[in-house]
Amino acid sequence: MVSGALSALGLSLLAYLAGLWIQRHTGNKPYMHPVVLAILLVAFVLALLDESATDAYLEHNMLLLDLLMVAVVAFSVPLVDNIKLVLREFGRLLAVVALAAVFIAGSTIALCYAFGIDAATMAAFSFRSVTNPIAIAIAEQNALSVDLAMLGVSITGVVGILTAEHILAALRITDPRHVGLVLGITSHAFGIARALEISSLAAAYATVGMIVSGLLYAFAVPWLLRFLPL
Amino acid sequence: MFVPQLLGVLLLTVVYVFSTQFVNHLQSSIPGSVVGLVFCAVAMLALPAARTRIRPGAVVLLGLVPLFLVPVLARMAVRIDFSSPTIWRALVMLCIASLVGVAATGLLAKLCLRKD
Repeated sequence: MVSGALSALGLSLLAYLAGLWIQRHTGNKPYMHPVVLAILLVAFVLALLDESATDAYLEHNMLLLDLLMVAVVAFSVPLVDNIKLVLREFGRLLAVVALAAVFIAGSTIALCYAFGIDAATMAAFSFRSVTNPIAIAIAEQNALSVDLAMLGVSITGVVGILTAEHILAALRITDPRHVGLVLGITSHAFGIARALEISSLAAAYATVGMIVSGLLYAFAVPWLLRFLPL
Repeated sequence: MFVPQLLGVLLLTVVYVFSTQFVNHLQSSIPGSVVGLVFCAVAMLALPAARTRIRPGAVVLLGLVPLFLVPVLARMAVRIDFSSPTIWRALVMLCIASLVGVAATGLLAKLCLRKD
């Protein structure tokens, strides 16, 4: 039991460290994200083993999932750190985050209908721009598929960091506050990492954007789900 | 050694457990961790000493978030059937929705945030 737990936690840790090592030795490219590399490594190892090994791996890694939920509470620290920024432009920031959240959720649901995607998947994708820990909490609390929610969040984050700056430049949006906020709202933690490379101001706006939109979605999704044909 | 970090993690865990119990008591669909985030932010604004105690633990936990995500994302990678056309349709839809979302959010930010 103990050795199983240690092996499972060890596999996650080793895969993550390997991901970090590969990222550093390939020039810190945004698409060489250590988490993405770690997932591929873990999935590869699990694919070599039988189904029961996958179940055991997931069961023994529950500790990391619990710590992830505690980490959501820890997001209060960057929020409080940036509270002056939030209060200085509170109305405008809230307007951008709320309108963007409505647009992102609305356009996702509309595209799901257009692509013939079922209601359960649609519900799990409706909060796809929220950071992973909050998305897991929302999915679990509202009995939605955590796996589909993670798929939506991950694809959104990766596509966002790879394309956001090109799209924004094409729209002549170059102010680091605007770029940071967009990265935080649309690409969550992936976006904050990218915003940090632009400037500390961009990173502060990205942090505020990610946390405020996460809070907004967490309170709005249970209400929104009443209108979906689940 | 590591006492401030461990104390911070312990305090954050206490807030998480309390807020989860609070949400369960109210039978709310809002995640306990998110309610805990709000409680913790209010507590730190009201009591600056709480911020000093919580910060070291928060720094550790936030730095480890990528590691905490590995098992849950690995589960997604193993459990989702990527050979299914439905999943590929969903992936294409997500890519389009992401591009549209970035453009719209950028325009909203430009429109609503004043220039300093």
